[in-house]
Amino acid sequence: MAQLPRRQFLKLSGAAGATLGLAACGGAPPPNPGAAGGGGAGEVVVGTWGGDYQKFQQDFVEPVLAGTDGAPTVVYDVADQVARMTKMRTQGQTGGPGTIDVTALSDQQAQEMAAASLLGKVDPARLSNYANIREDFRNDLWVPHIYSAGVIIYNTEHVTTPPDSYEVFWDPAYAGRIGIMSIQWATEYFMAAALEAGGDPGNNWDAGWQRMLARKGTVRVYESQEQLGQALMSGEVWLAYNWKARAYQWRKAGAPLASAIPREGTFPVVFTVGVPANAPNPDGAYAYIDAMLDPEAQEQFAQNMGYWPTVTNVDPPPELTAEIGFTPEEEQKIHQVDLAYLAQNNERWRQQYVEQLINQ
Amino acid sequence: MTLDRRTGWLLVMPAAVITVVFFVAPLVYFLRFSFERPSRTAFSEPVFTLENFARFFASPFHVGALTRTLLVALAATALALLLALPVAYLITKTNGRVKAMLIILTVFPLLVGNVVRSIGWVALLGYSGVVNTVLTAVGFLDGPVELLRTATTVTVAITSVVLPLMVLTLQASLESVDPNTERAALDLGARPLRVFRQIVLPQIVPGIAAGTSLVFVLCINAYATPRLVGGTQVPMLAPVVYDTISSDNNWPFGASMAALMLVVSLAVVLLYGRLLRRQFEGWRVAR
Repeated sequence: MAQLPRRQFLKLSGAAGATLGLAACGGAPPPNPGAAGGGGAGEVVVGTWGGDYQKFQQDFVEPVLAGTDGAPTVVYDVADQVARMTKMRTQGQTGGPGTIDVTALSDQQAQEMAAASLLGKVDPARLSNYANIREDFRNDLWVPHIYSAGVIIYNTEHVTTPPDSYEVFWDPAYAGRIGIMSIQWATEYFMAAALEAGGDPGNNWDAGWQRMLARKGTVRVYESQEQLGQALMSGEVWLAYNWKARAYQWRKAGAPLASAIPREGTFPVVFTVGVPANAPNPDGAYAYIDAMLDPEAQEQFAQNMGYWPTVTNVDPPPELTAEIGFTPEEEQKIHQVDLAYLAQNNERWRQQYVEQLINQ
Repeated sequence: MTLDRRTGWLLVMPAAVITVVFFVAPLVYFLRFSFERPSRTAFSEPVFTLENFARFFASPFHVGALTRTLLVALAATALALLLALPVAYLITKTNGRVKAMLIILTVFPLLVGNVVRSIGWVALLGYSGVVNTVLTAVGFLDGPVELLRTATTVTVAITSVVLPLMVLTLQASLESVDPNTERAALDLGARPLRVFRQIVLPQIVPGIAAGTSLVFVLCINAYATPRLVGGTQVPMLAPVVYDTISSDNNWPFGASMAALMLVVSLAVVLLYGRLLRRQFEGWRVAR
């Protein structure tokens, strides 16, 4: 093996050390070819959930993107939304360029990020599919991808009378058979407040808090959608308030479940994508988001994941519409919520929920 | 060979620099947040305040989480010590392949991550898990019961995580005990249990102190096991710190809890080490 002269070795070591030092001190990142613009070429980093969502992005969005001129290479930054938001906040607060070009979040979380000035404004002119987005979902800070709404999910073998009101969650007959999630408190607050108001609770979700406390000890708590789904499928719990899309997924897995929209009404959840204010490749981000709005990709998400399209140029088959969609009468019962109000109260509600309702 | 003072310092310097730059500095940087106010748009608002600590001690939930964390850590450490002592003693009494095999078996669980082991507990103790299924099938239970999400289960699960470390620490200490001291006691008519209690145990006090201190600190800082086995219903401090920072973006309050964990861990370990050494010194001299 050839010997490296001592002087040359020291030079190389010094250069390597300096490079490492620069990297540790947050030195300038390597240039991203896409950052210069021009059709979004280069690399686009998509911050997303793992599992099915990412798989369907790869299966249904990437082929659409690949068909466009100068399509960027897609890299996924997989994490749950909490970790992704922490990363965005941390990168935003330290200044300098970020590492995420497209960030996938629920509408409530996107609102929080927008309120912290971490999302860039959406430029409709850069999205060829923007005109197809449902008008009521349009927003200048994020792009709606898929949506669903909360429904009462019940086990048809144990809950033989289809429930039509949130009152079922306070029925002593089902104590110990109701599942809730430690990470999803907004649904529970809404439910109690809607019951208190006899309909749309407006911006008074605290009104149901005493009602919620009455559920202490009657609910089983799960840490994730997967755990709750497992509990519903195994018969550990018979009732939960969750997205209609989830009911569809669990029913497809063979569980004897049905869903109902309560007479008090419900609220939608929109899963969105946004471009962080410090995104290194916004052109690539817009190209990717445009592909997410493509009707074919949207229909595939509906069929495979159970979330309803956010664009109007998709026509899912009638049987799928019955499973995951909403009739015009049901749409009337879906109350729009004030996301700024939710973002403002989110921290307090989480603490109250964890500390006083679900904690032993 | 002895090194002169200058060479000694030079050898220590790289490790010292790395420790200060990559461990002490970030820690100090992070802990300074504990004296600042939360902010919605930045890590913190740079003012000096003790509000975070006041809030912690005024909150039954957070004080409860600290108390629970300490009790679980104490119980898991005691349980690990009890279980590890006979195993470590057995290993020291074996030789050759048997000894190597026992050490490999002890180390083996460390090759599997905490998360995977915790998932194992969930599969074992969950509603449709092995224990519930078997007990229901043999008629011992009418139906599945809640075995997860209790402080007892979390204690047992954490013990299983730290047990190999305790065994290895005690075994290293037991190896240094001169077997002639045991033989002499046996020759003089002492029963094996008395030999272990009066001859072996006092000699491995430093090992016990090291093992229990190490394990106690690991238990106090446990994250994955309480999160997965206990869920939100057995709140322990490390998961609460994580949730406060990540879900609420409240770095100052999270940092204040981290500072408290650090202080409590250090205080307990230092006090315990001194107390244990003093007790056993007195005991050894008295005998």
